[in-house]
Amino acid sequence: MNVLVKIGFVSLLAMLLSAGVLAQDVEKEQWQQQMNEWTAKRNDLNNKLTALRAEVEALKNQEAEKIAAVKQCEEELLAMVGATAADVSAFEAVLQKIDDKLGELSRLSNQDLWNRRGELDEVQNWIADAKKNKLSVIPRYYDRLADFQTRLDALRNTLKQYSDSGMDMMTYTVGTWAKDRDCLWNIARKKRIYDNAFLWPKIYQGNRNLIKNADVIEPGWVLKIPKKAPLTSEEKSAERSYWRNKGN
Amino acid sequence: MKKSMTLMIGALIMAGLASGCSSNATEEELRQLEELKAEVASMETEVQNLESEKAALQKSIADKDAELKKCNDDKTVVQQRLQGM
Repeated sequence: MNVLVKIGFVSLLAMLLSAGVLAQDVEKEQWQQQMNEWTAKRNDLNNKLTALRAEVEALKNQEAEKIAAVKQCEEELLAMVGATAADVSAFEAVLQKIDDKLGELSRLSNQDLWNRRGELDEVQNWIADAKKNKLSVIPRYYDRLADFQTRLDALRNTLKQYSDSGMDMMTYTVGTWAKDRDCLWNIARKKRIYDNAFLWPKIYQGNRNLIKNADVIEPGWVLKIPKKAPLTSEEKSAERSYWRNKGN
Repeated sequence: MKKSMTLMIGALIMAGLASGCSSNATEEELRQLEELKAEVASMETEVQNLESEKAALQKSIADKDAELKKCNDDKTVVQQRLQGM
């Protein structure tokens, strides 16, 4: 009998344990409720997906039609000016060249821009040539060319301001007499300066802050070289004064 | 002894009722529920993707409409410029 009691207790314990484990699971009724909810959700999504797929498909077709319409319009536009796709590529390359050059010039310092001012005329010619192209009547190119002209004019304006400020003046660093034979007369005579020794008073007058005596210039001085032009009355007066002092 | 015997039998009957009468979902049913949830999650992702695709297409179509309008306007301008040449 004692054995039977023990077996009974063990069985009871096992059953209670198994009942406890199962209690953590989902009850059938709860499961069914969840199944119903999720199935309804799936059905809703299914309907939504079907509708969305149809909408997306319709939109894709619509997009394809629009792309074709734009392409056709572009072709008609080119046909109006008698241009081909190859003409467009070549023209766009020219515009890009102008754009690049203007970009390059606009990044220069004023001094460097002054030194390369000849390139502005070159760009002006490129713009003029581009304007002769039949494609230039198409607004996107027409506007781009107008923009180039504005940028070029701005560069010219910068140069003008620079020139008006006198900052564009050339400079010359005085060398030694022994090596370079530098004196105002010889400097003025140099080809790249005035190619005219008689214009030395221009250098003298333009550098009175440095030069006290026209016969004395020091190696290493950086002389401003005024633009080549006939001597002004002031420069002539300075020259006369020099000769007078020389005579005394 | 008789008492403890009765107690034990009673306990056995109670335990049997407790475990046998609770109708829990089977493993198979639970798996089925999990699969359903996964399917719904996947469908939700697909809906999101399609919504995004739809929005992108709508934007693209609007852009193309604008391009087409610009092109037609350009044609008018070109026509005028060519006549003016």
